[in-house]
Amino acid sequence: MKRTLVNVVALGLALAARLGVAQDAAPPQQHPVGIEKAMPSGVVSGGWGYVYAAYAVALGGLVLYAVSLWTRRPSAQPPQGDLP
Amino acid sequence: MPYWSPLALLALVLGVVITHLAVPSTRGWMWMVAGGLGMLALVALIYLGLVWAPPEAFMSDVGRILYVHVPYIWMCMLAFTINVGCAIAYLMKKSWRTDALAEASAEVGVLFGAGGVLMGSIWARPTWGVWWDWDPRLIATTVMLLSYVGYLAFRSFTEDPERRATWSAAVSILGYVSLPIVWFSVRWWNSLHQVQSTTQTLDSAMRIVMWWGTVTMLFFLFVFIVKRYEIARSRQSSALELPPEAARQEVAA
Repeated sequence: MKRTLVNVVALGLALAARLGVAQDAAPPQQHPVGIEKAMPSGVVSGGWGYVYAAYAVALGGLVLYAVSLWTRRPSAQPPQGDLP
Repeated sequence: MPYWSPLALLALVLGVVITHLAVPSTRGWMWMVAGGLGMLALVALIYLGLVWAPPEAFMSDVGRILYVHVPYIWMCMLAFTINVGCAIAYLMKKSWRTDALAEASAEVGVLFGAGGVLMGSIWARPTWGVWWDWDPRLIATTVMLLSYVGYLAFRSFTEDPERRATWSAAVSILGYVSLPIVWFSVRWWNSLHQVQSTTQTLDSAMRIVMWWGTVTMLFFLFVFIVKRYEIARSRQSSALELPPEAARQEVAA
């Protein structure tokens, strides 16, 4: 049992060492060192307020224009006074 | 999107508008059915866009603005295309109907264009970091919108109906030159704005929602144009000082 445990630990250490060597052997990054701290991760997080605002503009535009068409609608019978 | 989709959308909306205007028996109910379907589709669009659609790969949930921003801009372009078609038709054969349809489509196009630009600005803030940038696509869109605002202003300031119709048709044709510039600006110049999405760059679930949004806005485009057309016809009747009976027929036609 003890021998098996020792073997597992040894195997783990060997794997960790190999991974470390692999990381060291990786090609250097193209961007300057330290830029990761200044740059965001590349994915926008959150922002639901903007989404709701855009949908409100979309709905509001349709509703307001429908109301404006309703208020400007021609009367069914043109009043006599408007036309000679 | 397939390259033929803008033409298919244009043919669809033109077909429905012309049917509505040319077939008197459809005028009473067609816009109501379209309006009802549009409202139902709009409710579904809110669910699909805000809940059902997956987050975008880089913009995450902010990418959901796509489903209202793009259909709005497409409707704007469709309306302006109808407008220029009517303008050319009017110059070839003078007709108050085509003049009224041109006025209606220009106003509805400005509505959708302004809404689309406003939504784009809201979208730009979390993705570009600014509300506005003097980018080729944004400049071209602004010029296009301003030219159609000028078109509407010209129409409202000109009292003589014939002069208004003829000159506004010329203004419309000049203004329409900006539309292909808007469409291709993201390909011709180095733009912050992304290029048009294709079936290869859009996830199938996102594609469904965007088409749903487009069909939803098509219903509203149709209803708005035909109702605004009625207003334009009524104003023409007043301006042309037709007798009451003729005026009623003119508005109905």
